[in-house]
Amino acid sequence: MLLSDYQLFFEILLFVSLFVACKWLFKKEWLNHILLLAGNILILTNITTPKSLFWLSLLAALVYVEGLLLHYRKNGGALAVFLILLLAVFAVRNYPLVQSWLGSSWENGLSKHFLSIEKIGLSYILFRMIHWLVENYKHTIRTRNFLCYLNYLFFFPTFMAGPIDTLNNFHYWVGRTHVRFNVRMLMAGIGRIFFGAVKLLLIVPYIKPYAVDYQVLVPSLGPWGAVGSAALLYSLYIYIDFSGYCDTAIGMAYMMGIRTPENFDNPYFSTNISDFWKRWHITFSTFLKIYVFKPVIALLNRFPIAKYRMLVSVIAYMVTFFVCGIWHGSTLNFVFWGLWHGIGLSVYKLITYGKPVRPLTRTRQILGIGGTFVFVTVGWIFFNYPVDQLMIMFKLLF
Amino acid sequence: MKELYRLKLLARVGGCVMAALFFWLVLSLCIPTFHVTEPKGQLYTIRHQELRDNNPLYTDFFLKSIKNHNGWLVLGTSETNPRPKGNYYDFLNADTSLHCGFSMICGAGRTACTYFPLIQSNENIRGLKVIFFLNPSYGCGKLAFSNEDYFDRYVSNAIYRKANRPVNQEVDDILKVNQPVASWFSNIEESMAYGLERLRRKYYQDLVFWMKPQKFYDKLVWLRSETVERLPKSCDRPEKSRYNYELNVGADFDVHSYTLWPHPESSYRCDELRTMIRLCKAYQVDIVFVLGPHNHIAYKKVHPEELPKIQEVSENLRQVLEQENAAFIDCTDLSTVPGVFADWQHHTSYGGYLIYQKIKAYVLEKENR
Repeated sequence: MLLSDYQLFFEILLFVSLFVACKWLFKKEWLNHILLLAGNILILTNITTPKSLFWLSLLAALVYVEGLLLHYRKNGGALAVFLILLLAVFAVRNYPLVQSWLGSSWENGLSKHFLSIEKIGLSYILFRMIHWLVENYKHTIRTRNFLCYLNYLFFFPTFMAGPIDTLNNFHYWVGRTHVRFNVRMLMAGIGRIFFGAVKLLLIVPYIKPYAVDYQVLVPSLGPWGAVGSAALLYSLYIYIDFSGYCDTAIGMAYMMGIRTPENFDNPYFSTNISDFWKRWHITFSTFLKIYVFKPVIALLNRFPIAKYRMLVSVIAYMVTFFVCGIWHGSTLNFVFWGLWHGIGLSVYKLITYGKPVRPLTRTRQILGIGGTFVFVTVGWIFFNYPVDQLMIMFKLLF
Repeated sequence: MKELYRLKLLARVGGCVMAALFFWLVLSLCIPTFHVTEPKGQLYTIRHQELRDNNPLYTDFFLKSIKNHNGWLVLGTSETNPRPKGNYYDFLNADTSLHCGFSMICGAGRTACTYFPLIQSNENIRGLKVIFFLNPSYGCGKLAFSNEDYFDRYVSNAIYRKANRPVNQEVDDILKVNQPVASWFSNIEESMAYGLERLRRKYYQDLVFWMKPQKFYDKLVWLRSETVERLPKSCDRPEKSRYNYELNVGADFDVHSYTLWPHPESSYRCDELRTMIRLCKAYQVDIVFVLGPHNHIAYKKVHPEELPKIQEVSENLRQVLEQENAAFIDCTDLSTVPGVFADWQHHTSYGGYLIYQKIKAYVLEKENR
């Protein structure tokens, strides 16, 4: 999206030039924040609607105050209430099932307000808000600058699909005023955007038609060949597309002198599924680990079940990847995809539990990479096709 | 792969990209502009994008092809879109007694204002014979007012501002009313986008066509004799099984699915028409307007209270045409003819056939004059 629209492209180009020039010339942190906020508003109004931005800003202000309250008065109960309310907003907006639970109140009034909030970027904003609340509760946030907080939430390169930065890192890079103009970062940003553009504009359009719909391949390859090839291509497509998007996002941030974290580290060269989740959508999986997996473990440890370590881990994996699934989409196939990975990680944990970690031989490495890739690729089938289409596919195959 | 993303290497790639962009820029200066020979036939239509960007290579060639072959250019909105059993220009093209071809440009919301840049920025428009279809439905609902979405769909704002040079006081005053308001910022953006597009054109157009001129001709849609032979020559009333004669719409159309509420109080379409007429006079365009019918029967049955309003909309357009002394073909009498409308605002092929007969009479009269 950032590359496909002329007008948006030029807006970004103009804004980045202005921002870099002012950052270099004036070296004032407050000016950086004001400029960045203006740029975010200007660019995001092209990506989402002004009305949606207004509601999100209002929500952001509320969450900001809640964060301050948690910082000055550490209260676990209040944190839980704030998080539940925040998740409720997200659930009501995103899930038809939750909307149907609300019944007539949704039909008669709520839908009008909630539907004016665009879905685009919403889940990533939610992550950043959760980060703000929890880290304020933990007293690990180094800045409480409202402008910095707003820019962190609405930073346009990472607004739509990450990477999910931490506020401390974001604040560090935006607030760096003592350094000289960094030509290398600017050029590296251009280079990174170039890589992203090659992926998004030159590779993805050729793979996508075959990757997203196996039926295109059925006449030439037969059912098994078509499903297998489409799944293989989908694995490539989703990686190239997503990493291409991240390249452009990270590149734009580089150009502005902001180093956002990396999101991928050769995920398809992972030797096991646990390794895969350390290399795929890294910022998101880190987020899940910190804000879902670990709290679930901590919660279970309070109960007698705590003595069954394996069971605790399995439950935590299943809960985490169930959340991961429903976060990706509101349909049942995403739940299947999440559970597929939850089961995979649980089985891997069961196999490796208590065994010392040894370096893998070359053969085991290759087998591990192949096996993990096949497992992940099968998972993408659940991710790509809704349940009704999955049924048709299974009928065709068996 | 990790090595590829090291800052040092990325910076080198970035440097190379910038150098390549500079080279690309300099090289574009050396590419000669592609010139076409005189068109050997009449073009049927022009691609939407070429018209939106007012690509002179295509627009000049298109207009020249019509003018050189004594043809007509038919302009219209959604009612002029192709119909399965033919539209009025198909019958005109199929009619061998007329000895001329009819090229067309049309599209939903493609009202007069979207053609202003075409008129103002193409010399070949002078002396061109044009048929302009006026659909009274554009005096209804949201369509009765200035519509930025439609305008943006058909006209690049950068082109509009570039084309919008002063004509004369009389025209300029009205042009200002129709001019879309754009902020200085979006003006800069669009100018940059336009500049980049022109630069790209040097490669995907001038360079490519210079190397293989045939590629240009392959992209054109010609009005060929073999195509004309396949066109329908007449059309009967719709069959009773396929048509709702009670409401004067197609059998599968639900008149309650939407309604076009007439807004005779809105002067926008009249101002737009007045501008079009004056602009055509200023640029010596030989234009004739077709005052289209409205679905009288459907309005009478479903919204009788709206009938006087839609008639007023139509009457307002007629008044402008008469006040401005513009040539026009009155098709409003078709409003009450059963079988003419497919829905609220679009005529059927049968309606198109009846419109064709009226246009034919006008063209023959003009030829004999």
